[in-house]
Amino acid sequence: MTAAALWDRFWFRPAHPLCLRAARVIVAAQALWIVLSRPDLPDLARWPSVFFVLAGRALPARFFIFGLPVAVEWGLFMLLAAALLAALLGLRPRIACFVSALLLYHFAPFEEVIARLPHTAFGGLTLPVLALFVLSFAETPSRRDPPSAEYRWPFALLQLLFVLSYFFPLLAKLRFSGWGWFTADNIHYYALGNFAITGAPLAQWAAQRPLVCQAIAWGTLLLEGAAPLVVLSPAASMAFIPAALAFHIGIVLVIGYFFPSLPLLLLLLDWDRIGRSRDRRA
Amino acid sequence: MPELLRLGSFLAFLVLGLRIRRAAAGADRRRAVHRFLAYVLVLEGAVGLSQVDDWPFTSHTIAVGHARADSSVCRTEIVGVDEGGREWPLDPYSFTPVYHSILQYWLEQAPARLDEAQNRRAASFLLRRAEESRARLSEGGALGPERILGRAGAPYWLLLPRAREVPAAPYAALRAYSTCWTLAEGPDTARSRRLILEEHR
Repeated sequence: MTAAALWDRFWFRPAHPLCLRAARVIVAAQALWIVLSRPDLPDLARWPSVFFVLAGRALPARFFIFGLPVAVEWGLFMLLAAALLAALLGLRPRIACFVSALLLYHFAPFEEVIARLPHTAFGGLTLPVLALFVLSFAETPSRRDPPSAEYRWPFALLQLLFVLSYFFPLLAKLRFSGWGWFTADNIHYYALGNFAITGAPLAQWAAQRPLVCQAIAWGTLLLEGAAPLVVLSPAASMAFIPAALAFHIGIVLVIGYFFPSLPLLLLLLDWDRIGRSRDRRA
Repeated sequence: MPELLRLGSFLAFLVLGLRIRRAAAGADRRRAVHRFLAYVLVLEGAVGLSQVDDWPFTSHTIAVGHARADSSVCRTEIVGVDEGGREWPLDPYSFTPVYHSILQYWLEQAPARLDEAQNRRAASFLLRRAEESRARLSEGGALGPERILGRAGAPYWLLLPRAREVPAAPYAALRAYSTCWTLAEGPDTARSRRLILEEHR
């Protein structure tokens, strides 16, 4: 099979419309959850300009943060919540997705812009911004549509972008620390260092057990390294979801880092098969 | 210039995506989708491989350093001071929407770039915000992610210990301390506790 044929097979094989409908609901619900968990975001407009000394002007301007009056920011924030709700319920989905994505692009950096966005990627809104734009560019499926290539490429793209959030950290670890990152010693000191900051409940327990530390190191390597397989094989995907869930629970307990994008693991379910088997039953 | 390039990369994403919508069905549309996919893959790949962030295209770089016995760990604590001089640890959501670790980063870098009047203005604003949060907690209210969704709210990714206990009377002042230690020493042996935000009334 040629590279062109492989490319076409990956992106354009017919997929059930449930893929896109499920993706819209999952991504909109995730974004709404984060937005409702950050109800004070527009209040950043009240912070004096001295707090933007590190950010400068260009970085905020990139996200259309121009010092708008706080009442305007509040209005936009309410519009964001309404647009996400509309996207979730499938009301004018393309417009709702586009408006939501544009406003998320504006508001997601609010939390960290004064420090130049050190960890905005982990805020739980990174994939929703891209995903809601992609969904607004794609066809809107209706419930009874037959499988189509138009429902495959956007869904495959969202899945790929999501698994890269596991694979890229592996590349970064190899670049900055090499294979030495995946050792019991490294995990031992990570657990100890973070315990003093977060007080994670199992940090000291894990740090005192070299075998546990080694298992965490190798488990991380396996999970992050195998992540790209998820977009190629539904079986790999079904194995990945519980493993990733355990991985994130372990991270909370051992180093105290929460993964706000956890619900997005639902994107990796085999929605194509679920949709087709539902059709057969009907 | 880098920010302009980043904005350009985002606008190009939008333009290529909107072209899919405008393309006629058939070969035109398929070509537009090909171009869009190729652009996203190349941009995302470049960001992932170079670890140069271009949010929302990002390398997801976190916890990538190699921790060793001599690795240094630093922590900035911000405390409220009551009229009697007692220090109260502040909840990490006291300055919501800015989380404690982000403010910590700001406190470590920004004051040196500000003049005295600007620093006073910043400290005075922070004291006011800490006091608003104290009053809310004191009345049994919630902060940050719990304000609307209660316990179902999504916390910030770094789970710093919560400090919901507050004095009944307003804070009279704020202080911030920076402490550094090596992993071999541990925080109990920290010898470098240093005042970085002087008592601000």
